[in-house]
Amino acid sequence: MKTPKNGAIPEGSAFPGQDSPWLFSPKSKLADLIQANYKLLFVLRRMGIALGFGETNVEEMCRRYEISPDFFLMICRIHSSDNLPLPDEWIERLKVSELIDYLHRSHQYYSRQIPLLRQKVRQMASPCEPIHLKILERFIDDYQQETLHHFAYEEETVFPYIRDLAEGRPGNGYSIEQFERNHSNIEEKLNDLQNIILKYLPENSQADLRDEVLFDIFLLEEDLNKHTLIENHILIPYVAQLESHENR
Amino acid sequence: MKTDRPHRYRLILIEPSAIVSRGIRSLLSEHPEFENLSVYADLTHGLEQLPRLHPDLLLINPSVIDYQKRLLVRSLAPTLGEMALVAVVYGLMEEDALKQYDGHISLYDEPAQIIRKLRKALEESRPAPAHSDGYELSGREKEILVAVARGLTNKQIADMHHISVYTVISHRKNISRKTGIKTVSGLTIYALLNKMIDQDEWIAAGGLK
Repeated sequence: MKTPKNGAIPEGSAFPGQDSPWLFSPKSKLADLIQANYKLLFVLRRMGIALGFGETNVEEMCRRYEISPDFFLMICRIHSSDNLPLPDEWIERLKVSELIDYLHRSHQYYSRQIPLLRQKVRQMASPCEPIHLKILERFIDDYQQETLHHFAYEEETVFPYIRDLAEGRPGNGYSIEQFERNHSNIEEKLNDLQNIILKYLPENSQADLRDEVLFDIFLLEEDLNKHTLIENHILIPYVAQLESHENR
Repeated sequence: MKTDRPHRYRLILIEPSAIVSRGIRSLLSEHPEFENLSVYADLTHGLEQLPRLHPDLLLINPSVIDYQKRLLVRSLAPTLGEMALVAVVYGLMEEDALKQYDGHISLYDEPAQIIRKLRKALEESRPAPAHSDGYELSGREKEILVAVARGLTNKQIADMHHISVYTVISHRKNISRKTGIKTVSGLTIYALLNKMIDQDEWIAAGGLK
């Protein structure tokens, strides 16, 4: 992810096309956003926004749900573009409680998705040799454990620390640098699973289900990548800034 | 633009003896590929230059390294993992210390032998450049993959195959690039699905605990 030094938002022309995330604005209709990138449905859910919103635009919807439009649009843009520059002002204008809330709901979503994925993989691999089924199950179980630990650490240690810091109660001894150093990569195993199912699992009678599992994994991978990007490039720099103010 | 000239390697020599370092320089100067040699008499000055010179190969007399650190040569500087490492040995040197290197030359080696050893170290530090475009695992890569799937550490694998830990890591990078699989548990599944390890043996070893 390249971040321009001057923090300037590039002109719309740098992102040609009607669907450019830079054209998302407070006046954009919510439905247009989703039609430009259907994966934003995940974002709506995490913000607690229900469907059936008719012609509501971003601004109106944000007012109704008490979300800041800046935050909503930032998340939508990050989820809608690769190699998006992340302007410094996004970090400066951030309300960290909103971000932590969003990350928390994302964790809840992933924690629901992984068991569902496990079920589907089981079903897909049921005609395989029993040993293959067992190997895959074991792999996903390990993955589930790993992600739960990863989320629990953030929920129980990192987020409370940030909340305290934001409210002027600096924690004792902990710093965001520790999080940055230990922030493990939970996409790696999922990517391995994707490769295994795509390339190495022998052919079986469940082709449709296999495709479906792959689609699920691709979506989850992409979503987790954005999640990690938000944590590493928005949350961590924000907190580091907060810490440096605190120490002044 | 591509030219037909042979690749020129950048070398650093850390050697306290002026006679030896001049001898090595003179020997290498007969081979255009090794012309580019910087010489330092002590470890600190030599290591300081690594980030600036980005050598392809570091020739070093292990006696300049503290005894306790000889088994951890690669950890002396962060970039040491990225280059070939060859020891310059006068006499006896502990076998475990020499295993850290991609090769070693002795003062009594024939000039041609020294050149061969350097070339070999450079080749081995970049495993299988000739085949690296392919996606088939090489024989050595398969052996290493099986060892990883069996749960051996890089150090154990290095000892088993008499190669440096660094070389094991390079092979593992290539395995991951070719298969797309990065984690140990992912590689285990790969090995099982491809029948590279025996499934019953794996279960017996507690693989499905």
